[in-house]
Amino acid sequence: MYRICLYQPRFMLEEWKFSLMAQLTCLLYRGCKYTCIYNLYLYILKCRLLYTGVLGLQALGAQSSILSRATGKYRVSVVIDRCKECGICIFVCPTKVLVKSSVLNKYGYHPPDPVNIDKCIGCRLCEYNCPDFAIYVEKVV
Amino acid sequence: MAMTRQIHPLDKHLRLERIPTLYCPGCGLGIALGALLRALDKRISEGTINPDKVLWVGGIGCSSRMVFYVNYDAAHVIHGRAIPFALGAVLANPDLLAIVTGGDGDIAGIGGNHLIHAARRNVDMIVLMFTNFVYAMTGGQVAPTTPRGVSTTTTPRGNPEYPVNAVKLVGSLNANYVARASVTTPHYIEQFFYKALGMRGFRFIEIVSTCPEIYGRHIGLRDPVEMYSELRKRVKYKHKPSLEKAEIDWEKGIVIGEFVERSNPSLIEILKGVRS
Amino acid sequence: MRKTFASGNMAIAEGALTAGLKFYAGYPITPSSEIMEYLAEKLPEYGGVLIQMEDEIASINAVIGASWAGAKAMTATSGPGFSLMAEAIGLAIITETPLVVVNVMRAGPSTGVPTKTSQSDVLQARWMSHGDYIIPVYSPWSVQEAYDLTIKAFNTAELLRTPVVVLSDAVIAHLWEPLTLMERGDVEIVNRKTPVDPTGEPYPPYKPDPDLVPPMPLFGRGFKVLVESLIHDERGFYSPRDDGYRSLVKRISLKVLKRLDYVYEQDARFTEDADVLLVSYGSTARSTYLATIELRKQGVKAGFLRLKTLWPLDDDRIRKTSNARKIIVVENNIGKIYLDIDRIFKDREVYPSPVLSLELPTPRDVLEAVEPWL
Repeated sequence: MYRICLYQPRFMLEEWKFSLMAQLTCLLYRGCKYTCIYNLYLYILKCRLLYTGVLGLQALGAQSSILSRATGKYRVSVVIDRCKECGICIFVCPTKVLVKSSVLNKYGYHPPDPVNIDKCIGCRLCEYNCPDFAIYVEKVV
Repeated sequence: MAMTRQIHPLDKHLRLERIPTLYCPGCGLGIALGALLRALDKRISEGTINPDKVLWVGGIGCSSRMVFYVNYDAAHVIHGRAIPFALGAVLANPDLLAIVTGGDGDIAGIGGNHLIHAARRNVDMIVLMFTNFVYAMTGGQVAPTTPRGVSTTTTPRGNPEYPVNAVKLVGSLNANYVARASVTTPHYIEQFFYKALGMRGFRFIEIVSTCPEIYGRHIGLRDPVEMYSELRKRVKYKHKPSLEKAEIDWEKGIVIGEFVERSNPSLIEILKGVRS
Repeated sequence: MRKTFASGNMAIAEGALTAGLKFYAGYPITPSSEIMEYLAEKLPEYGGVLIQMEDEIASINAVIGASWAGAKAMTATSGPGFSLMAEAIGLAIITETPLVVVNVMRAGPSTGVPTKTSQSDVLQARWMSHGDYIIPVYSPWSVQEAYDLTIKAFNTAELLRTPVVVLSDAVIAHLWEPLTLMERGDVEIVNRKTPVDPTGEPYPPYKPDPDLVPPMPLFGRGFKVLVESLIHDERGFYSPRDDGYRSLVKRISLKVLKRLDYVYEQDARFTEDADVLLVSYGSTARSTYLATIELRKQGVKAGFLRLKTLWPLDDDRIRKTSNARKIIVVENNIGKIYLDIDRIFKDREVYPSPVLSLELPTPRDVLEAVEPWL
């Protein structure tokens, strides 16, 4: 169940071509990102890999695209198209979870990526200091 | 209009067709709006506030445009006149909870007279003044709160005037609640607003905000993170300080806290004869 | 119905109370202060609220806010205060707020002569705010008419969702005459259209019905109203686009013009066989009427036309009033409505007769002013 690059359907790879191996490879190498000539961000729908630290990108329409990572305790989600790259969330995070990603959103900004999600302590300083309702933290139940 | 899904926990308080906001990257107004909506959300889920009765009123300016984004009754009126508009609405329908948002120019400049009299009357409304020390929407002209010596577009050789201290001004009148917070401490914005939502009478919260694009340009702090961090260094929280300590000085420090908290009879209580 | 003896200011206040006034915010200014003082006593008895604000700007903004909260609202002032209200009247126009503003004209410009009369604000009442719009302006000539036209002003405001100006003056304000007060059942009272029930989605406050007037959602009922001073679309969102701008600005004017039959009123006497038509309005019309009768006694076939509505004018109806060759416009200013009458009667001889007078111009003053043109 994968689809890539919602903006350019002709670059979509048919779902049936993806096997589990392809899913893993896709995450590891991110080849489509480098080959997409429009340099647009890519979405992978409903990644089902269960190990921690997995990158989950939900695409349900351009405005609602979310980039989220979760540990056993907390999930940090970034609403990609709302971010304006101010950098405040990256600055205030006490454990340096967030890093500016190379994803380009609809308005040309680079939203943050919670790569060090295992260090997240759930303080929500990112959520509270974001001016654009673009990042939020949930407890994983 | 595309159907936008509610994703962020505060999305039910926002008019999602107008998100993302027009605010610049790093604008403190967005941080403050999030904190205000969290406090309002708490009050609504407790049941102490009816969301249908909430009314947001703004004049003209970036801060006043907050009314575009909230999913409640809202009014975007003329420059400086949000306070009398809200006063008329509240007196005609005392069930309404009026929240006035405005910048330092809209509320303490052109609206200064209305601020003074609304505070004097202790009329039931919450006034949020977002201080960024400049008239930002129109390009960066000097404002009543601009510190001495700052170069703005209309004071290119340095501001010769002294700024007004709105907290001391309103505190000297009959207001029920006077506080100052900063966008570098959104928890305090939420706390103070939460408390103000549960009170009656005139409640005034000055929220010191970052404006990297316009004021930051005037003082050499264009980067949002730099301006945020410089402001954070100068903000000092004091627990229930007195009004004499309500300094707001970029060199000496910006004191935040709750300066005045009392329960004098509000105008509606007096008119209804509940208290005299 | 009740007969009483009252002044023009009291009549305006009583008219507002009969129409259902529930909120008044004002600032004292001669010669209109009595309206506020009278209402300060009476309005709370009717369940309304009155507050004296810190200036006229605060007053007009407060009544706009109160109107959106559901109350019929009014403010009264005179020349200097009216000038201060200019910006906010523009706000009421573009947000389509029902409102009544009373201007008790006094001698100007600037501080002028606070206790004496003039009719110099007749064009200001039409166009004082920036932007394109048409708002109704009424001008009573007697205490009874001050009462009736104030009720009509409220009805017009509610029917067309627009601010309405009532132009009284210092003479009518302090003139005492018999007044017949109506009870609620005696006179038609119009209330604004409101949408039925909130559906949870924001209600578009500016989506017009076929009569070009949108139903007005009020604060506090779950409609998620957006009152917007910028040029907006039907939802109230800022919309700086040509098509939306054109349709909004045109609709604001057209909704009034569509009901010209209701809004425009005039009073024509002795016009069937008139050779000379005297046109006047307001307090000056009282003397002009007596002058007309005097001219008839002298053998001149004089007719009399009094405008009750000063804007918008029904050009056709005015033209059809009389076939008189000469038309003389008598007014207590430097000649303002003359400009309209001159335009309307293009093919006849139209002459101005400005009778600048601090007290009510006497019939003798009017005759002297009119004589050179006869």
